Amino acid sequence: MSYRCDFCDSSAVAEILFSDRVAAGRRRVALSGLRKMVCHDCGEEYMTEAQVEHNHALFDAAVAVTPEAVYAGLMRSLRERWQLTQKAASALFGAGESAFAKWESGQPPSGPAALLIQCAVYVPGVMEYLARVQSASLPGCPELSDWSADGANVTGTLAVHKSVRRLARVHHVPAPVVAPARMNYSPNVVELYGEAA
Amino acid sequence: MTYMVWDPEPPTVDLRLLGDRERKIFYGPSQIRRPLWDLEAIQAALQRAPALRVIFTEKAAFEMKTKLGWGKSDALQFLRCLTRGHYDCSEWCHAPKGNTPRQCDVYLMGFSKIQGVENPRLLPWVYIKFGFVGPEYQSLAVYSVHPEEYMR
Repeated sequence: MSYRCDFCDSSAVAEILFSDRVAAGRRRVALSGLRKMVCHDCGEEYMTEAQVEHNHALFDAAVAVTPEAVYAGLMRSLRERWQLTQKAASALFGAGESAFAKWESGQPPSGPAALLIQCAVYVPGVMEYLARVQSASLPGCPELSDWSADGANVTGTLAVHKSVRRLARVHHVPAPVVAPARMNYSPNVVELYGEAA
Repeated sequence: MTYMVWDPEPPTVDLRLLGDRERKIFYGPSQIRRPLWDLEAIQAALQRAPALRVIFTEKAAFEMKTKLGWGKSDALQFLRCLTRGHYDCSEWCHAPKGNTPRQCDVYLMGFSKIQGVENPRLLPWVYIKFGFVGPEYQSLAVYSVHPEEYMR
């Protein structure tokens, strides 16, 4: 396959495989098989959209099996998914008021706190359990709750689904059938945590 | 198709010798901040098929993942949601391995990747720096995507 450099239009550009160690909280995950473009004329290095997607998938896979590999983006995503402020998230995890603010700005959580956050990200029911024992309320998880449209104010990723359908109409392509994502809990989790799960 | 609104004079000294303030690009004798790239045209091009070609520096690709938990589709949706009101400044920068100064626009916006829409209450806001590269300025290069406070 022949490529042209996006910077200088030279044909002396090639996709290379490389390895790197990327920081994920207190841990560094070793990644191999990463991809990027390197131009031998202008010296620029960059990633195409497909390469970014590929590299992120490698990172996600490595982080999911590395204990305590909790990075700022993961904590921010967790907060976003559950619509929590940094302060509310800190209270939920039994940490100091500004813990999440610190953790997300580059001071990673301690080992046990990182493990708990990892559980909250990957194990269904942990967030509901934490809310129960901390007597806190979870504002809601878009992936778990049903979508609502209050007049013109459509909330949740429904808005994105609507855009996808609109774009499909504009470009005369069949619209993908996208239902709001629901996390399927196994029956034992429902039994353990009741309705909250 | 050109996305350029105006073309500043390139810097005459090595960018590495300049401070943050000196790398900023201002327009005209009154030194006002003015975007270099046409945001509306970029957003229209992102909606078209085939979509605008977008490339990322290695730093931007990993920072948006590790600092924000974003994938490339989140970054593209962020670009689609920007407005002129989110423009912060323009500045010279160069890709890590390159030596050619590139003119970039910087935007700041609070954004929910779950909802795919602007959310000013979601702190910290997100900083994005991008510009066009190539002989015809045909590829949108994203140089930085990270939380705003990370840079301070």
